[in-house]
Parts: sequence; C-alpha cells; structure tokens
Amino acid sequence: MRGTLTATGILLVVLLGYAASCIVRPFRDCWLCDGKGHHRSKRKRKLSRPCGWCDRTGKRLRFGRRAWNKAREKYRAA
Amino acid sequence: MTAVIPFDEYDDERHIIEADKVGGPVDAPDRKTTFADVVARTEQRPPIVPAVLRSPEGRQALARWSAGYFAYELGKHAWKSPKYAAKVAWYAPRGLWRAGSAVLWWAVGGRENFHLRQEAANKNDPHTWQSLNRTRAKESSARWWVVGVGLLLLLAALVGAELAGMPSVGWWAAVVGLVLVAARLGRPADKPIVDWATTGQRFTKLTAEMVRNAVVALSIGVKEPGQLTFPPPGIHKDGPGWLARFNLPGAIVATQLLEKRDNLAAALRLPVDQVWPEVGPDHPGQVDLWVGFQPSSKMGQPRWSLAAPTARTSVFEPQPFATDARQRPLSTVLLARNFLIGGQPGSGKSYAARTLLTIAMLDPTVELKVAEFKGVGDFLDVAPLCSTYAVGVDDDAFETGSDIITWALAECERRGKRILAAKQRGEAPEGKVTPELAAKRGSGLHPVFILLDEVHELFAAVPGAAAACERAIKRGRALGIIFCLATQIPDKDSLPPNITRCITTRWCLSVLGQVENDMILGTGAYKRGFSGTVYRPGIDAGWGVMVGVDKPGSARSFFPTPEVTAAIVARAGQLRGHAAVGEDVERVEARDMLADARTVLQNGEAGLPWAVLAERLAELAPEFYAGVTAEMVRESLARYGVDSQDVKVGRSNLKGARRTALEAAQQRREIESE
Ligand SMILES: [Zn+2]
Repeated sequence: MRGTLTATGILLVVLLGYAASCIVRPFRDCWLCDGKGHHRSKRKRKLSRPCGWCDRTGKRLRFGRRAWNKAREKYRAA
Repeated sequence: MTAVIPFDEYDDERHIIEADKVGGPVDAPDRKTTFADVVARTEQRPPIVPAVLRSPEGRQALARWSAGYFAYELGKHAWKSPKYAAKVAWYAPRGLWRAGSAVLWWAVGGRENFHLRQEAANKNDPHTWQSLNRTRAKESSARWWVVGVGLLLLLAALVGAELAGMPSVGWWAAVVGLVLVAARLGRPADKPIVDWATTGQRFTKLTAEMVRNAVVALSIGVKEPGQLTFPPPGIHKDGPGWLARFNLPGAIVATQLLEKRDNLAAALRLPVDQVWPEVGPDHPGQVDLWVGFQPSSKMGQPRWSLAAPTARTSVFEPQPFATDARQRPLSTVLLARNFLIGGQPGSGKSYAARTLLTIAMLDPTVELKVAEFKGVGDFLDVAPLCSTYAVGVDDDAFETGSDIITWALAECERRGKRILAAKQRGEAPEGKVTPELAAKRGSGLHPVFILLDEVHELFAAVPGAAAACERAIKRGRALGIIFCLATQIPDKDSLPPNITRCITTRWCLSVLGQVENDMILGTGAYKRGFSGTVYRPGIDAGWGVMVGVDKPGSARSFFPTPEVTAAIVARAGQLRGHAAVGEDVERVEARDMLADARTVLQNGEAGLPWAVLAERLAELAPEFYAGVTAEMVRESLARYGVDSQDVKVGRSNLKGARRTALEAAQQRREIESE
C-alpha cells in the first residue's frame, strides 16, 4: 500500500516535472542531424544534404509537447 | 406706450394716460459684485478645529471612547487569535512557495515573451522559438547575479546579526515576521486573515437618499425626492451622529416636519430617540436633522464641568445643567428666572431639580431654602447648607414650606425698599439686583434659591399657599429670589395655571399624555413638537423637553454618580465655609384669606370691589398680602365658592365680593369641617 502510494507520488512528480519542462523547453535537437539541420557530407568541399526530418531547422518538438499539440488540435477541431 | 386722447376744439386739455406695461422683465437687473459687497459679507466660516477637540470635555470623551474602542478591538482579536493562527499555518507555506517560485521564474525570465514562445511551440516553429528564447536569455542573463547578490547579502546580514549577538527574541521576531509575510503572500486575494467585518450597529451612515425618501413618505407636501436641497457642506458628522441640513420646497415649514417626528423615525427605520429634527438656522423652511449613531437612551453623558473639584458658579452667568440630544451642554442663567419641573414618578425630577440646585449651591453668595414633600430625603445631604430645610409630608414640613413662601413675600417687600434705596444711590440702575449688589455684604440683596419638590403636596395641604407662592414668584423675579418648583401632578388644582403662567423656564420630563405635557409646557406645546411623552419613566430618566431657554428642545439633566454628587456637595460646603447663607424662616401664622376678607369689610358695606379688597388686605397684613392683585384675590376666594358679583360703588357697579357671599362661604366651610 505504502509502496504503491510512494510510487504514485513519484510518478506524479516526474510527470509534472516533464510537463513543466515541455513548457519551458518545447524543442530538442534533431537526433538525425545532431541539431545541425543538414547531414554531414563525406567529402569536405561539397555542400551537405539538408535534413528532412527536422526540415533543416535542427530542432524537433519533444514527444510530450508534440502529443500535447496534437491533443490540442483535436480539441480545437471538435 | 402712451395713448393720447385727442383734445376737442372747445376744451383746451390734453390727457395722457400711461397704459400698464404688460410683459417684460420684472426682476431687478443683475449687477456685478462690488468690493463693498465682498467686504460686507457675513458668511459663517466653519471652525477649523473640529468641535469635539475644542472643549476639554470633548477631548476627554474622545480619548475615553478611543481607549474603549481599542481595548475592545484588542480583546476581540485576541479571542479570535487561534483561528488566525490556523489560517497563518495554512497560508504561510503557500506564500513561501509562491515567493520562491516567483523569484525563480523572474530570474530565468520566464515571463519574458512567454506567450509568443508558447505560440511558436504550438505552431512547431523552432526558428521563431529559438530567436525568442535568445532574447529571453539576453534579458535575464543579469538576473541570476541579482538573485545571487541578494542571497549573499541576506547571508551576510544573518551572520552579522549572529556575530553581533542578536538575542533569541530577535530571531523569533524575525521568524514570526517572515511567517506573517509568507502568510500574507499565501492568502487568497479575497480572504483576509483578520476579520475586519464589524458587527452590531446596523445604522452606520445617514444618506441623502434615506432623508429624501423619508421626507416624501411623511406626506407634508414634498412630492418628489429631488425637491429637497442640501446646502453645503451636505450631510456630515456632527458630534456623535450625522447632521443633514436641508431645505424643504416651496412654503412648507420645518415645524410641519417636527410634528411628525415619530413618522420620520419610522420612515428611517430608527428608534425615535435617535432622530432629532429641529428648525434650521437660515429660514423657517430649513430642517436640521440630526441622527445619532445610537439612540440617545443608549449614549452616555459627557462630564459635567460643575463636577470639577475647582468648580465655582455664578447665578448671573449661564451655567451648564443638562445636555441636548447631540451631547452638547445646555446652560441657563438662574437669576431673574423661575423654574418648573414636571414629570411622572421615575422621570428624574429630583435629579433635574438637583442640577439647578447645584448651580445655586456652587455660588457661595446664594441662600438656599429647600423643602421636599416626598419625604424620602432626596436633598438631605444639602441640608447643612440650607438656611431652611424641610422634608416630609407631615404638618411640620407643610408649615415650614408655607413659611418659606410667606418669608419670600415679606422678603420681597423688604427688598423692594432696599432696591429703591440702591437705585437712588445709583447702584441699581435698572431697579434690579446686580452681581455687585448681590455679593455686597449686608446689602440684603443676595440671591435666594428656593426649591420646592413635590410642591403639589404643599398646595393641596395648605390653602392659600399656591396664591401666595404665585405672588412671591411674580415679585421675587426682579429681586433675586429664584423659585424652582417640581411636581408630578400638573393638574389645575394641584398646580394652579397662574403659577405655571408666571414661570418662564419649564422642563417637562416624562409625562403620560398631551394634557399633562401642555399643562407644564403651555398650550399647544405638544402640537409644536415639544413633548415629554416620548420618554419612558426610569429608562429615560432625566430626559425632558425644555422651553423658556435660548434653544427650546430636548434636555437631559446631568446625572452624576453618588460619589461625584458627594464631591460636589463637599465642594459647595468648602466654598460656603460649611455654613448656611441667610437666616432660617420665622414661624408665621398662615393667613386665612376668607376670614381676612370678612375682617376688612367695614360696617355698612354690602361688598367691596376686588381692587379695593386687595388694597385692604395688603394694609391688614403687608407681610403676607404685599403685592396681591384684584385678580389674585378673586381667584383665591373663588376656591371657597365666593362668586364675582356686582358691587355698588357710588353710582356704578363694579365686580367684587359681596358680604353675603363671603359669609355664606364661611358657613359652608364650617359645616364641611364639622
Ligand atoms: Zn535533422
């Protein structure tokens, strides 16, 4: 019982913390291009290929924020 | 416009008739204000210092009220302190959390373009977000330093305090202060920690709307609430209450409103003794409506200046004896006035009489004569200061009372001669007693204050006493003899209307009805709004309506505690050297006017006109009948059933007493007494 309560409490705190962090820092670096917005070229002189995953921005919404935005759009549409 | 009637050729005349001018302005033309107008202005300048702070009594009352108020508030909040403590315990952590998070949020610049950044995140626009975030970082980059320095300073202060040896009390105070501040920050905006809401008094403020609606509801001719005008400064606080001065519209006079004081109080939803309308100072259509914070029966009374240990009065100057509804002292001059106090048992007559006696008592030149026919010794403590004192409802007391009146009559006779001599010496320019003459030793003109309490007992027991008293009152007024009569049955037998008529200052305490009220205050007083019927015996003891003073209206006699009363009597004794001023009265046989009238009738006279009879009586016994008038003799003898009949004098018939009527009256009386 006590363990469950503690676990629930910890879970709640962690969730709230994650939610807060999604408000303060909604973006994270793109994992595909390492936040550079373009793929690293093998030859040095040549221009590198832009990253399509992050649309050349190098940033992507974090999972929580993306889910939140999606939910919000759904709510707006309804 | 002139109309010219053409002259005819035969008559050389010309008539010019000025026709009436109709229409056009009839008002005088407006003109500009000149300097002369400004200089001649006599507008009232309101006093700068509030009235309550101008008199020592007012200041003391204010101080006393403040002390009481704060003591009450302190006690109330102390009683509620557990509740406050619980609230603080609940709100303080919240306040701490709020303060901490607010500082952090500020330090990171969280509020800086917060909504723009969120919008960028919502639209999945990392470019905008990044630029906005850079702005935020730049704006708030120095804030961490501020927070850091602040924390360091706080730490330094704490360490400094510890090193300087701050006592633990100081630490506790700091902690308590911090907790209180935290609780203040943590409480919801609409929930104060301390209960400020006052309870109790329902009436707090008199508003123009209340007054307007109440006056319209009286149906004295005011139709619309807007018809009342309030001259500046409008409704304001005046003493312990609100004063609304307003003008009634048209030709409605304030007395119409005064007659309906009960209705006014009903319309305002307040007790009658909280609502005090009077005629305003500017014109007869102006009303000064004073509404107390409390009903006057619940208000205390300011200190009486005569209760001061150094008090000394003069019967020639106004002295306070009562307060009005607004707690302002009322003053009266004793000299050249006579007083009648009426009211049912429990109305506070004796105390009202005592306030007047106190004024006389504290003037060491005044001789006191007190007779009290209640028999309970209300004035026993003053007896050593009185040249004559009687108490009781026995023959002895009545004889003394009657002797006082007889003495007063004889004294009037003596004083008349002294005044005449003084006038010839130039010491009494108006033929009246002056303060100098009164104070002069051996002048025989010192003021005399005669108090007859429950005087109807005397008048009922001693026939002729009332008539003699009336003569003494009339003559004594200008000669320094002051009568104060108190009675509870003001009907025409126990208190002859003639006596009432010659007494100018009348004080009607609680009475049962309009008849008694008008017996004391005069016909029509009740209708003019002067009524003692509103006061309840016992509860409103000392309250009454007074006429014959500068400002007729409600008057509440001072009602000092027994200790203060004793102190006043002691002070009077000290002023008077613990001895009575003046001589005791001599036993004088009361005269029997019926027998005397029969005596002065000479052989062969079938009757005497009233005027001649009065003269003969005065010759027979000047010490008793001095100053008696034809009218008085007629009224005194009418009581024995002697009718006013025609008496032949020479050729004409005059009204008078016939021998047959006098003898018949004597026989009737003998038969009745058997
Ligand atoms: Zn990428």
